[in-house]
Amino acid sequence: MATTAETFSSRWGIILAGLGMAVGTGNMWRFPRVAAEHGGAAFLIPWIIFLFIWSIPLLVAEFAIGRATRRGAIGAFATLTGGRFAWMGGFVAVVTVMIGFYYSVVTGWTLRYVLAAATGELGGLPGAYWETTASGVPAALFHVVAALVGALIIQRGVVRGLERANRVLVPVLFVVLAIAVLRSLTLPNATLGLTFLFDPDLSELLHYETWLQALSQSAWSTGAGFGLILTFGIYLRRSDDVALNATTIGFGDNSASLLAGLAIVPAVFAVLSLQDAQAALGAGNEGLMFIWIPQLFARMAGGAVVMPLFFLALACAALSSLIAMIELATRILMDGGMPRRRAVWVVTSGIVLFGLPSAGSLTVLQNQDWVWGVGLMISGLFISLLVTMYGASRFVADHVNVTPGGFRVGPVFVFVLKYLVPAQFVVMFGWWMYQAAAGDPAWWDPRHTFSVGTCVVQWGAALALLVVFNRRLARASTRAVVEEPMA
Amino acid sequence: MSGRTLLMMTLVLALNWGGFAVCLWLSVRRRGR
Repeated sequence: MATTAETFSSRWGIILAGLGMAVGTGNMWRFPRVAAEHGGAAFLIPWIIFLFIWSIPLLVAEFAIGRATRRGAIGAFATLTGGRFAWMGGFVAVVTVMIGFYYSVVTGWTLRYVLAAATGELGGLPGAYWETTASGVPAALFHVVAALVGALIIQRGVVRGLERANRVLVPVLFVVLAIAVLRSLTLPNATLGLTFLFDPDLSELLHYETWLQALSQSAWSTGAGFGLILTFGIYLRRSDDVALNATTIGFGDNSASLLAGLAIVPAVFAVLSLQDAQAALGAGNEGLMFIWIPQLFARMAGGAVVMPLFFLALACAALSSLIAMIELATRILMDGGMPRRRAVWVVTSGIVLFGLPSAGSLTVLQNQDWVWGVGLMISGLFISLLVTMYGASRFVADHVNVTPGGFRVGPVFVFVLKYLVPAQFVVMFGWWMYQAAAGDPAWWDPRHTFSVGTCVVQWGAALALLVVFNRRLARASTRAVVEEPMA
Repeated sequence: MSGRTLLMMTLVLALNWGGFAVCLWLSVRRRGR
């Protein structure tokens, strides 16, 4: 069966879809916290470096791979390697799909908080409200709602569904964040938070964790290595400028993170006592966003208006990332010959079903976040290896520098993708393994939520299955005949 | 807020928001997509 050659309707459609995919909850709840914890502006230095030597090169490569093969993550690897390494694409897909299972639960939380903030339900005891939201029946219900909303968008296709949704979600997100920044910076003592966020503690640069957190923040946040931009690449024309579009998405994602930082950290320090402010920033992602932020707004003049808007921005960020994950899995099934509508509902049923354990237990969700969040580094490595196996210089000539008048990448890009990305992987991954093992006597135990063992067992199981079924995967993922769109 | 903090804030925001603005501007100016 031939799949239709749908393409994004304009450059803005591509950029907004890319930004919608990239800007997610990580920008809103992880970036401000991690930056403030790891030396403020000193953290921002490696964070920006990794944007150039990890995230943007991988985003460019992903766009070009998707466009070159017109196939999703598995089919793209199968096509470019003659079927031998479909399992690598399979791993990229597994990591993102596994993230999608619990990300739907996270999106459900944000939807519930929009309603709760708008109806004033959050005013009383946000800690108790969070307890009822995090897991159990409400979490499962809103998880299902999030998955269904995502499915309804994606079943309409890339232009009428994903692109059109992002034309609303992304501008709303940026405008609301800008309003929150204005409110935050006009609070008395907002400069305390600015100092906390931007005062450079350069000694932090000597700690491995600052660099590891900066890399994982950049990779996680921009979506580099997820295979999502690869999937979007399928819907590009040969005349689309992949280098400029990827760079715009990378910078746009960083800009959204800084907006979130400016919205949250100064407000935290302006409204809360110093002790509470530090407790809020040390309370983890969910603790900061779902327990402390409502308290913050409750004590702030105009908070009753800004709080629903803030959670609306969070929900927009989460939903626009979730629909990209649904599209990734949908496209893989379409490559196997399944029509879009049926593929979307198969994927959604899977998300609903396999997201339930994370909706039922916060520990399961945190374990999955740990395992597949780190797994993204492996995905990034696989994309770089794919380009190297194809021939990095040939890849650039055949698939990146093909737009007349477009941005061109040169030998530096080839060097980064061929050598620097694998080198970063080896150093950071090795460092992570060593530290995670050294700090945990039961590091080998797969039953522990945050152990090395749980990662190795889950990755190993996925990789073993994918390698065993490689030939079948390669055949199935390239079954559909794909039409090349008009230039 | 110290001068050092202000300088770092300006540099970080200028690099990221400036980079984003330049990319958007180039996107508007360049033909094609």
